[in-house]
Amino acid sequence: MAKFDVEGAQNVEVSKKIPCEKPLLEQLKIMERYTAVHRQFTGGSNARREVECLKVIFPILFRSIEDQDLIAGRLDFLPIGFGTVTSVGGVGHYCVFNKLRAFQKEITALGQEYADRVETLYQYWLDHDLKTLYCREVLTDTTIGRFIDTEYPLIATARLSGMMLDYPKLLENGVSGLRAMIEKKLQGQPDNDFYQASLACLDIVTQSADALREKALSQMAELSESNIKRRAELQRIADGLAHIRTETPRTFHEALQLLWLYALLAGVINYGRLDDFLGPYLCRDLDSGVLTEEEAYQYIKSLWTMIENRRTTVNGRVIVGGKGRKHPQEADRFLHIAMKVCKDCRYVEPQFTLRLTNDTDEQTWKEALDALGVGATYPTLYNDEVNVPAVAYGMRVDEETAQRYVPFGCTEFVLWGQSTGTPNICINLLKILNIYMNNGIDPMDGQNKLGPIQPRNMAEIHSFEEFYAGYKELLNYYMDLSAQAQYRSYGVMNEHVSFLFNSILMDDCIERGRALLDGGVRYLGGTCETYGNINASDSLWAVKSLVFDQKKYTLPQLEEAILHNFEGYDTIRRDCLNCDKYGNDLDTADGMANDLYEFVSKGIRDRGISIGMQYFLIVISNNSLNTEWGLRTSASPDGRLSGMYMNPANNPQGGADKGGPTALLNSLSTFDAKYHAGSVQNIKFSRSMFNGNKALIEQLFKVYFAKGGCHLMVTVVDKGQLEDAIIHPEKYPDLIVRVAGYSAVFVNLDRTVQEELLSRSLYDEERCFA
Amino acid sequence: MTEKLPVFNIERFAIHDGEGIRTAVFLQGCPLRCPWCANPESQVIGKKLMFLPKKCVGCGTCVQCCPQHAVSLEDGHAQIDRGSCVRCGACAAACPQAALKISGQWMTADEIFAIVVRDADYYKQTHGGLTLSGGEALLHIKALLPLLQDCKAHQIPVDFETCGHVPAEAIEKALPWTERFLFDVKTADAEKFRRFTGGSLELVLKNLKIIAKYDAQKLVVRVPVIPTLNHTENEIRAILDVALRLGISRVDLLPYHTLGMTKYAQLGQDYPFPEKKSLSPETLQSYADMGRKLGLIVTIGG
Repeated sequence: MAKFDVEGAQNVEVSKKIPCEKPLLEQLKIMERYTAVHRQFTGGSNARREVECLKVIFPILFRSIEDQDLIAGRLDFLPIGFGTVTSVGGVGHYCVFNKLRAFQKEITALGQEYADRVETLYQYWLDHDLKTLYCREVLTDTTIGRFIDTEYPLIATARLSGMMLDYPKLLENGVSGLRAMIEKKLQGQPDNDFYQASLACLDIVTQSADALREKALSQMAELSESNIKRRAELQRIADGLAHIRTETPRTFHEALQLLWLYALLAGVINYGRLDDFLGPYLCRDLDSGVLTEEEAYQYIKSLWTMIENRRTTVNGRVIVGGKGRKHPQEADRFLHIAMKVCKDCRYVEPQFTLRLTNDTDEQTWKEALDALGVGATYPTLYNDEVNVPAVAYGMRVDEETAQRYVPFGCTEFVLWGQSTGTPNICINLLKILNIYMNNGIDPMDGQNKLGPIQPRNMAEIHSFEEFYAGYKELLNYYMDLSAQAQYRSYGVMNEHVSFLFNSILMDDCIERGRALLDGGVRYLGGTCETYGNINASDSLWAVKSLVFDQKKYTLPQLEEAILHNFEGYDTIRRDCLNCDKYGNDLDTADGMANDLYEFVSKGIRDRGISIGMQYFLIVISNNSLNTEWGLRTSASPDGRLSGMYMNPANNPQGGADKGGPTALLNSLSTFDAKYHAGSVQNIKFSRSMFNGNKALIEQLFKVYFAKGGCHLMVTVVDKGQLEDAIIHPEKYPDLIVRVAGYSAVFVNLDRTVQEELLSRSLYDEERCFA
Repeated sequence: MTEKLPVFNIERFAIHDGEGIRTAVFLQGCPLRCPWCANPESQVIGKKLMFLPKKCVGCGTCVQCCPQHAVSLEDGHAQIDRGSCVRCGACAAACPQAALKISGQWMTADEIFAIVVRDADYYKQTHGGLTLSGGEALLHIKALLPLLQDCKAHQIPVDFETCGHVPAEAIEKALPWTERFLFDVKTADAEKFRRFTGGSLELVLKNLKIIAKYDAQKLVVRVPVIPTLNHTENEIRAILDVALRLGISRVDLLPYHTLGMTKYAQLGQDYPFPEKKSLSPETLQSYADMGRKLGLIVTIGG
């Protein structure tokens, strides 16, 4: 069994969490109760144990209603509890050990006996935390590390990220309708504990609605009579909860309330196609005069704030637009209001996602570009014309089913209501290349990470094909590990939990009478995040070009320079940097990037199918892991230095693209989307450039999408960032600004030019906004 | 054998030199010597050595490799003896920091077209195309013909950005291939034109008339608004009158800027124009208004 640190941080946590509302002692008692119940029900049915544990934390962990909230539902998380993802709480029956330690430190102030009580919990959970159980089984000393241990070329975890539930089923049936559905099935299988536990979960929904209603009424009672507006809002919240506790929602407010409450209980942090789900309720209320446009705006803004306040950093997906909506007209009205909210709020979450088709109207395009132009960075744009057929192929479903694709997290696609798609594996293609080139030893820590693969002597390799084949052999080994570790994550989770709330709203759990990972979910899919893709392909190109085509250096010479982090080898590094690089619309480097992409993406997909998944696809996503993993990835033949960040998502290494936006977009659009389940493409404009040329930029994007571009993440930066870029140029390697007769990367300009540009960019902005 | 062209820059996604999304190809060689020129490396055909002191770390690699012994180290920076330098490029090829670079390379029309055609879809969607600029691109009209033919065959519209100071035959040769001429009229005062640029206004205006007679819609008059040259109401008015007389409807006013100053330093040259402050677009507003009152379509900036 591999050694690993159970207290290591389990996920990227950029946004600061809001502290728990409950006093420390009460928190401790809840965790003790949870632990006792877990112990008591261990040995019997997983479903039963799960629901008994859920009863411990719900509804007690609901926080009070904030003044700006128009619907109720905010949750606290303790270091011990139940959940689906690492971003809020943990996975299954979880203990977040580093947070429990921090809690222990804090509570010691109340007396040593409390610290001892925490210690008892800590020791119990060492043997019961789901993720720890998975890690003990799957991690190895040198090849598979824990999330997020960047010493390893591959990291694995157990989690259930990105669940997108069938909310229409919830809204159309209500709690009582779902109950009737399950009871009917239960009649046929009276001993089915999944059904029994699911019914108890529905009771938790009702109890939570009641508890929140109490909160609304008591908070209302504390307000002065003169606060008519807020009292009315709280009354509306209380009335809504009184209705949706069992019944189907009648209004937009009630639909939003039920959906939100259920999402919280289910522990999901991505919300799906809210335009289509909520649009009909919204329109009915707008048309009948129950709601004004302004009130609808305030509701959506309130939702935005509540999503933001959950602080999941990389989740909170709300998706609008695209193919396959049941109520496109109603959905579009939601979409337009949401666009306004997005433009005004400029929050990091929700990750507001717009699916585009050839039929997307001009108004939607305009609203999207307006929001991007003020620096919202949302909506993030997905191209259905490419993605729907790609998903159909990649996930092996028909096109109608493929229209259910929704991006979650950093970009991973999942079929809402029908598939799992959690990325439980991350793999570092560049680190694997560096290990391969150094006879199996990771230059970063001196460990052999070849597994059973035989090391290759670089001096004896005589062709690029031979060199590449050796790399592929090691990649194959790591891809085998990836598929096995992903598949096993489902196995381990299923041995311990049922994910009841998720199961109820996922096809075909109720139909089959089986929990999600117990044969319930229609499509058991998964994703594998790949990192360093472009550094690896640019490195391959540099090896091909310098060693085998130009014969300028031998492989050992190149490897020697790399192992010295190019120190004293400036000329070799410059030659490496001068090799063609991906992102410049060059068939050479782009071709290599595509070749490596297809090898890895097909390799992962084929292995997923073989092992028994509906799909297992790579995602090329975008978060800070490219930087963190880069810190522990040695220098590479593309000229990248040891410890330097790796390329972000599917983009070139920062500063490597020198041909402007069309060249970049041409490179980005070369990949065949059917082999991945999401690939992030970034582009960055200066504020004046973007806002001064919106019509052209819209056409630029449209051509890119027509060429096969699957996605676009647009950043528009403001003047403050230009100023910051002068102080911290390393942070802005690809910020494009318009100079005069030419455009330039801002940080490459001379200081005087930068200052000149700064001095006049205000004019540009005034002109833009006039 | 096809003739090669002296290229000093190819800018993709050029959106200020003609309509739509364009690729601008900048060729060396210019018959004029405007002291405000923002592209001093474009004036004379041939390689130029540009030195970016900000990037120089004083490693001395260039000193070692220069066959002319034209580079030395002073105060931890490379120092170039421009008199001895033959612009062979050995130092630029060796510099690990890319602090030295060679501007200008010879390319065939085919090589240029291979780059231009890659953005054909963007041109089509936005009525964009290729802009040939410089320097003075029309000086190379003969060598450009294969490129113009390729563009025509692929339905890529071509604009020329020109100072107009070229033989009339060059204009006539270019006419059938050209969607639009972005034609500089810097002043309507022949004496001033000669004094500032060393050229003949008569030749410029003759060429302007040739195009206007062929099709005035092919013309956009571009006026670089330069202090001491034409930055007065009367002088701008005189230029606008030239456009009006020839039935030209579109005028671009381009505010003087000093962004080329650092390039002079990189070439080891002094900036020849006394005015060191850029004009803001707003200062040109009254000229734009004047033009619009006269019925012209006027824009400020490209």
